[in-house]
Amino acid sequence: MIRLEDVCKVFAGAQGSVEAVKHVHLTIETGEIFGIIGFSGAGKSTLLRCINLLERPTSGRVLLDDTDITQLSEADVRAVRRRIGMIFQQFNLFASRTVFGNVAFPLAGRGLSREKLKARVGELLELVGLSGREDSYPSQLSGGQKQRVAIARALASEPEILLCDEATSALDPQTTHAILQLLRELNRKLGLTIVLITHEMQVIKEICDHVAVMEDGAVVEQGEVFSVFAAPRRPVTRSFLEMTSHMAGFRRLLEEKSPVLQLRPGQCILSLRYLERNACSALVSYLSRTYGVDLNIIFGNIEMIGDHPLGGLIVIAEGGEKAIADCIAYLQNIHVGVEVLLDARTAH
Amino acid sequence: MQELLTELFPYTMKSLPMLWRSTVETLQMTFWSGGISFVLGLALGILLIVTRRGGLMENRLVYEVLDKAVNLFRSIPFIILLFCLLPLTRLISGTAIGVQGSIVPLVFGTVPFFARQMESALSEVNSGLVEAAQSMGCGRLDIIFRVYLRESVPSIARGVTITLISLIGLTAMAGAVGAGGLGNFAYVYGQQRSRMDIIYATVIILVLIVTVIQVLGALVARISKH
Repeated sequence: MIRLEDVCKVFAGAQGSVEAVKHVHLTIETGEIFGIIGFSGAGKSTLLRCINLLERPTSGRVLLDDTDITQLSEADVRAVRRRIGMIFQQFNLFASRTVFGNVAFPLAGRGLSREKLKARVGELLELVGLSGREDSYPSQLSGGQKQRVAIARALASEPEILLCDEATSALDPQTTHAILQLLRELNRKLGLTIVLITHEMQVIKEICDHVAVMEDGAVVEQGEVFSVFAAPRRPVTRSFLEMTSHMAGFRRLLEEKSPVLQLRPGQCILSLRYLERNACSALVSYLSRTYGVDLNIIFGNIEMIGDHPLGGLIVIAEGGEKAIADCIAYLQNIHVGVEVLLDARTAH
Repeated sequence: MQELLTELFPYTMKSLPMLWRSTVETLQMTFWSGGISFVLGLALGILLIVTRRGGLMENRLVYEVLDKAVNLFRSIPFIILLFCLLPLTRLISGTAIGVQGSIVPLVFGTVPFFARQMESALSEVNSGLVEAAQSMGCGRLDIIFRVYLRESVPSIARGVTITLISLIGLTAMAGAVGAGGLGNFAYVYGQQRSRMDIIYATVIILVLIVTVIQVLGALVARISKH
């Protein structure tokens, strides 16, 4: 278990000091995949580096299974770091070494025989799906393959924790997906605790169990991924959600006064957001039948997070004023987040 | 062939043993001062890299002192440095003339230049690699040897090539004030006696030496770069 208690990091700069991380409290359970999401400059990279002390917190405690590692000697910190693997956005492979040399790098000085070393590196490469590429140089590999080598290297010393610093941000969508699947697999197979930081909602949705949203150095929301994104409390959380939903597109249409959104009298635009894990797919037809309201779907976005659908619809509702009001009341009753985005009902 | 050479380089052909000895002396001076400068300059380059701001062992005082010392020695023209160092040279080498007497000033003339070359070679190493090594629990010495030095072999080879070539230039200058070697040979036997063919012959030999160094340096840089 990793616990951050009141961690702060202040950088002294020429133009005064910068508070990169502000009073962060986090608990990361053993064996889970924990995501930290935030826009660039939110301090997530600095926070991640506080976990293996590549950045020393200015104040606060970093507990690894109840040991405050900020109190350890330099030699002990190095020993702790061998229990924590790390991978990076730019892979950071040693260009002068082969794949074998890179993966064997952390194993040097452990008194392993040449055969044992070979066997171990072979095992690790098989684990990441790169068997037989021992003699290639990093420059001969694709981005995804480089990240696989980096993962094998990070796992060489059999760590319990893997820190991922924007590990998929330099990769294309398919490769991102493949690497995330690999991380998921390693998490399950090895019981590896994974802490990742990202600015991509996709990454959080695909593999994380818990998420913390960072803004301006502070963690503003945290919890189970589904709960956090089903009911975002902060604008920053909502904006991450909108990045992958079509809300941003809707907002743009609204700003551009698109003809699609020119309502006839009596119509209104509703946004429906699924908040609980009971989203029923027959919602639209049920409403039409029961209340006699026509619902015209103009945007829709439903994603599976874990086993639950998350997302929503934007619809133009047309019908009697009372019918629409009843509709809204019903939706609120079944815990569907409903919001009137544009209203032409009273504009007679 | 023999006849042609005798016709083109009449005086040179008459003093072939002397030419040979001078070439050997030049190579000796280059080898010894180059070897010592390599060790000292590399150490200095590493110190500059690790003590600079944000370095592995950030130390403002050490960095500033070394940085200024390097600048100081680099700004002294070599011929003046030769004279300045005479007492020190006698103290260390026991003599200020010949190959033995040339090593101290050549090292002083080369180390600052080479240290800067090494500093720039090592600073090309991506800080991400250092961070990656730290995250694997590597200590400072590990990082210096297994990351900094290992990753910058191609740049180091280029730096060594450039430095060796400029060092050969310095040996000629040292030769003119009594260190022997091709510089001395060209000056005493060629220039002072108006025997131009001797000067041309030394130029040809120097060009050959420089070419060999350059080819070897490029080869090392190419093999070590992946």
